[in-house]
Amino acid sequence: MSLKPRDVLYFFMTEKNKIFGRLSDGIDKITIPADKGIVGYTFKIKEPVLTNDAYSHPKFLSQVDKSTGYKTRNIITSPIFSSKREVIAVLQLLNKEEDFDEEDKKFMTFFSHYISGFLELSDVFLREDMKLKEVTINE
Amino acid sequence: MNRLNDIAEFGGKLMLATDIDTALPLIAAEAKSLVDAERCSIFIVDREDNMLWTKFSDGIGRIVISVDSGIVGDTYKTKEAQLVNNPYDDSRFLQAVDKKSGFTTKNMITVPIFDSGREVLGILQVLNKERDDFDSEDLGRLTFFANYISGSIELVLMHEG
Repeated sequence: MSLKPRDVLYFFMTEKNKIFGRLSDGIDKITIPADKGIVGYTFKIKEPVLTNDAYSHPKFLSQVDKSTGYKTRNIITSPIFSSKREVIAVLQLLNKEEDFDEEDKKFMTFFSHYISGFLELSDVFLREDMKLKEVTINE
Repeated sequence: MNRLNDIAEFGGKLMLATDIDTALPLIAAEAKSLVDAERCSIFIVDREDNMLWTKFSDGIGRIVISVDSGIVGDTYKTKEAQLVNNPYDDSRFLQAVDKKSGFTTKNMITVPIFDSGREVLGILQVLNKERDDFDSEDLGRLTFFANYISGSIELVLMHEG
């Protein structure tokens, strides 16, 4: 699976009903309701989602394309589970030159699992960091 | 923060371990230091033969048990971590293993290790906390740790074929 960096999105569940995501180049930040779009659908069903014709998928949110100016053709997503077996994030890849296939889905499932512990750890780091900052402010 | 940095550093080392004989001892050493345990075994599920085996079980050698035996077997079956501070009072505990090895188990935590298909691929077991009993903090730490290392175990098992 070869990727251009621009084509990777990762989405975090922040609060109960909001998902926030970043394009991998870090320029754009997207926040969507947790039950919207193919990412929201992935959170809900806890399974990978693959579509090679995004605009015909009933869950696809075309507003995101409109606001970013990016044209999505195909999408593959995979839930990322925490050690407590809750979905903490969704990994999404866009626009493979040819279509996404079952092999890609298998790879996404394996890869999401492989990185899940690192992501969970960085999340703990982030929260520890925020705690430290809070202490500084309070003093 | 130190402990978090240690885990991150360990993660870097683990990523370089490409075979199971390197990966398992690394993981076991880190698990022991995380919760101050005396021993650690990692049981791998053999679905074909309905067995659990461990290549690395320091001081004891190789152990093969059936998937339904002992607290480890129960962890496999229920897919839930187990914290047992009085194993000799627990009817699931296999006293025969202690008798054979000459080791006395004082307390134990077992945690299921899941693969990317969310099936149990193995069980992480730590024995005998240096002082005190194991507590819920140890359990939380090992639950996190089991997930942290699970992708690497899945990968090295793929290499094994």
